[in-house]
Amino acid sequence: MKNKTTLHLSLSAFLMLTLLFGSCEKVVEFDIENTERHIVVNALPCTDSLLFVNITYSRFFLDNKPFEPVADATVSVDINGTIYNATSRDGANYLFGHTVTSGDTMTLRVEIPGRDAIVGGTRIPALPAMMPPTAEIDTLQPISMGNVTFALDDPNGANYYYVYLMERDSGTRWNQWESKWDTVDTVRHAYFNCLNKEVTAPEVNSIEGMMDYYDALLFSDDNIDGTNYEITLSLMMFKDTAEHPLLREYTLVVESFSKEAYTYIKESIAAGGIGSYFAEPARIYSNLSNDIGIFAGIARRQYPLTFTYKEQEEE
Amino acid sequence: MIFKTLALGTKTKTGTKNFLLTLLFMLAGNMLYAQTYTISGSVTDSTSGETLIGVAVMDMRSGKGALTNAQGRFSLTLKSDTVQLRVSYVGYKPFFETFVLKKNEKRNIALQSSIELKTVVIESRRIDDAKSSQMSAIQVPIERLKAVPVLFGEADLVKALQLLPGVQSGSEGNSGFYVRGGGPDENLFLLDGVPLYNVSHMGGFFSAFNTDAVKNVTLYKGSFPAHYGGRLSSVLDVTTNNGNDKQLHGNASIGFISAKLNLEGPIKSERTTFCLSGRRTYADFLLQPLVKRLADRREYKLRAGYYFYDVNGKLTHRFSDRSRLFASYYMGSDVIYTRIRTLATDVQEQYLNFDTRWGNIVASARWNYELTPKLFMNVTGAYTRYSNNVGVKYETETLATEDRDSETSEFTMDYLSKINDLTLKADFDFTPNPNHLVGFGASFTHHIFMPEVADAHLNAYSSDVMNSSFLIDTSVNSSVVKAEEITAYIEDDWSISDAIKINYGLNISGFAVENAFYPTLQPRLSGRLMLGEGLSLKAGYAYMTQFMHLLSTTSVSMPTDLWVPVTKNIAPMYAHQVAAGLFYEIRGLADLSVEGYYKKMSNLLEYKDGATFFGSSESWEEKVVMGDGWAYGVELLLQRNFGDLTGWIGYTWSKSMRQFDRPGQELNDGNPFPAKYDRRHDISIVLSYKVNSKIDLSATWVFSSGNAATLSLQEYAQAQETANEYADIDPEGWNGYLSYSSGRNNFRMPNYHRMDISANFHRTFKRCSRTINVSVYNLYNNKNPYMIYESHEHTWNGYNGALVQLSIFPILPSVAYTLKF
Repeated sequence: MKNKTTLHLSLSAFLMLTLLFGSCEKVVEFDIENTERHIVVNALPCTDSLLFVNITYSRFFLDNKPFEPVADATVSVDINGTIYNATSRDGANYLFGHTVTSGDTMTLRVEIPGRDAIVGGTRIPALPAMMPPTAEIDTLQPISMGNVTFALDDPNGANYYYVYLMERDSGTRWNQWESKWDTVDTVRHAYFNCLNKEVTAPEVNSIEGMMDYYDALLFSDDNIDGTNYEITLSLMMFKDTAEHPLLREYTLVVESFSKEAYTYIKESIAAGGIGSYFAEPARIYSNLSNDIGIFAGIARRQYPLTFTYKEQEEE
Repeated sequence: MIFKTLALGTKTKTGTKNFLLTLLFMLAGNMLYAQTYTISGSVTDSTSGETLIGVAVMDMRSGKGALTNAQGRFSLTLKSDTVQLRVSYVGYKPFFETFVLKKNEKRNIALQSSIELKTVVIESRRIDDAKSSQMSAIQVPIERLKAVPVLFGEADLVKALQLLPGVQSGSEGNSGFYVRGGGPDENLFLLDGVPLYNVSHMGGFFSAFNTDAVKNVTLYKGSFPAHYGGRLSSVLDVTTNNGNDKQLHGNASIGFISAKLNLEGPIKSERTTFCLSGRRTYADFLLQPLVKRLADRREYKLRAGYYFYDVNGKLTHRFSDRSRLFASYYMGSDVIYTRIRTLATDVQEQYLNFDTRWGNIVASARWNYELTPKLFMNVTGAYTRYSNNVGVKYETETLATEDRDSETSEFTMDYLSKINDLTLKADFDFTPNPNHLVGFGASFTHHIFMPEVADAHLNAYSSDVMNSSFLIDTSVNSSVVKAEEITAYIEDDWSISDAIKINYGLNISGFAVENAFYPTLQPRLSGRLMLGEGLSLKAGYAYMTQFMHLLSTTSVSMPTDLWVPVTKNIAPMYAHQVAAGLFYEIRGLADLSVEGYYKKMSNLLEYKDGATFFGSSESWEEKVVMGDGWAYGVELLLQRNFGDLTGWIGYTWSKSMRQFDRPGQELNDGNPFPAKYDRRHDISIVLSYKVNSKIDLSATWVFSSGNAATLSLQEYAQAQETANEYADIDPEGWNGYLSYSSGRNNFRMPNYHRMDISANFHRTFKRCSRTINVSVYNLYNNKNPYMIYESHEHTWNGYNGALVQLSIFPILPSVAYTLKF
């Protein structure tokens, strides 16, 4: 009897509380016509790469379609006093014949009929001063830890760095526009643990970390200015048990960022981070006049990694 | 030179100097009266012995009078003559006495409640009525607040005050408090004179004040008397019951989600009294069997719930008519708990414990002593603490098998924030003559801040051959910030003539932290000019400084909201506020007031774009930016305090803006933007009607313009590096897009309106009485906006987006039962 009463009371309380706290939602009608689309100009010119500029329209967040390329833009870049015009267009990408090198000073100008010219400038930083990395695997187990070690010598002056490991393997990916699966080489950031406490905490921005694991390290000029570091990144690796080849290929990427690239990447990552749910929506940094996007230089070193087996060497 | 040092934010040193000299001159020069004697004493309720605050004590012949102070004491100095004393207070029979004043007289007056008047439940008295020099303030007896229809049948002091003009709630059902365009941290909540840092229970749906324990409430929205300081926008001064000194009384209530008990009575008759109140929600008890039944499986067991509780206690001892001791205690806490025990396998067990607790403790002792009939003293020692703690504990235990050794591991993580204050202060009331009431005093507070401390602890043990163990202890941002705050003040309420009365004063404060010292000199001035019978013009100015900030990321009161002090990098907030208004007593009908104000605020703190308390190793100082704000508006209040029909109509037109444009600290590109609770219109109508001695009815209707919110209504492609080969596959940037908002608080939520009704059914028995309260919240079931968000629902061919409004409280009937004995 007592149990029955308790159950009735509980059910009543549950139903009432469900009623009370049960959220009721309704869709708010919104006038899409009143939202003017922005021109978005994105370019991260990187050393040893051909320059390209991506130009799209922004979309209203309720639109269920990809970003529309801007087809009628006139795009030019002043590089060290010489003006280069885009030579061709591939969708949203305006392509140039110029290969980016460190020290290039660039001013981008995008003209679209009926709009003010969009202008931005950047300078390609010097390449990171570093020696090629060493890479080791600690055991012969199918799953084991690999360590990547390199020395980064930071000169005085304003320097910003972005360090990550690219992980490549083959896989399939759903092509939603053609409704089919594509076979692609999947390239993504690998999660790693940085063994250098003085590097990772607390001065350096840790990105999307799960505990002490990162998918990139972003160094601001404030905390690495004039300092030389030996940095070891440790990552979990998967091997074929028969012959021990690595199932995935890895590349260490160390990039010098211009301040514009640093600010843009930092704010972009923070906006998508788990803490952003609690934050006011923020506008991401843009160094362009008259509209949004980014034009910021990067100098990149990248090293495909060949791992040696530490235990084999010892044997 | 010294004035230049003291006047933070004051541009002219000579102006400040002149003001100080004038103030001292005025104080000294107006206290000389010849052939006068003083009538002093206290006013109490004849039934309970409870002291009464704000009672008018007046000599009918001379027209001179005084009000009882927060301890129920008064002092009235008159010329030697025949005195016709009238002591009056709404809800009580007036007390009359005629005598010849030839020496100092002591009068302890016990007022009898008036049966006729007492049946009118809604009674209140504005301390900013037409004759007072005070403006922008209201004193509300707790009976009035209890009569306002409420959510879940639980009377709530803060939410009732939100119905007054100039005071805004945060969002639906929230006890957030936004006064004249200020932020939620700019309000000083005093419980028996001691600051209470967090006044929210249940995410803000209830306040920390148990109405059973409260005797009197005074809210100041501007023109602050000089003895208040430390916050920019408002002061809510709450006084608790001393306790009945005649016999044991109490009341017990049970409502929809909580139960309350209040006991008060004498420990030693008419000498020592106590008052004890407690309240706890009990939904977790009722739901526990259900949670257990629904959640428990062979593989795991779940215990989860939420509750809050608070306890108020007060002891009062009367040593003599001149000397009293008060000891107050408050403790309140909110607890969310989840315990999961999982049997992963026959040999492994996992245990997850998630606890979030936050709450206040306030303890104070106050000695009230009448040094002379004209001079009262209050010495107070107080301790207040606010803490919040989010804790996670994860344990695994694996039994040894033939193949494996036994293993145990324990991981704990705590996020803690705490603030402790120790205060010593002395306040004096001096009444040299009926034309002056001088207050002065000083206080010292030692603050200990622990703004954000994260601790992680991992302990693993294996019974292998080596009996190996593994231990990690990590602590982040565990620094303690200590600060000292000193304050001194002096003020005078001066009746210059029958037509002109002013209240002027000076508050001098200093805050020492991290080798930095912030001195401030805060002048206060308000005045009244009688324009005719019952009609007056008032104006006031107040300069306020605040030495601490509340970092908050949401509109809802969260345990993760962080109280932080000013530091050597973060300067104090300060505000200048001017107000002016007309006050008119429409004889026999109602009181009408119209007030306008302008407030300029500086050094306001906000999180940087994208920053929160969450997930970063940066300290809080690196996550915030400083800026300015301004607010202005007009408030209209028509209220009726007598008769069977009582209540008020309030209307506010206001605007509140922010601008963060200091180099490197820009928000919204440095352009002005509306504050989150910038609302153009607020209307509240509160009516109560006494049908007869057994039934009274009340109703409320509120309307407010929509809150501002920041919505990212556009998306754009994220820049791709060529190293990321997704960029080649998807140049349109489906894999990476960023949200774009046209500006901070760029969107207006829909308007808010709601009607609540309630009825009280009273019945008196031989030894007790009972009241059944039936109330309906949101009578016509309007779906009011609680929040609006962008919804992205992924489907097989992309996603569907929508702008979705979340409403949380539909029509809510509730019943509460109260037994008084």
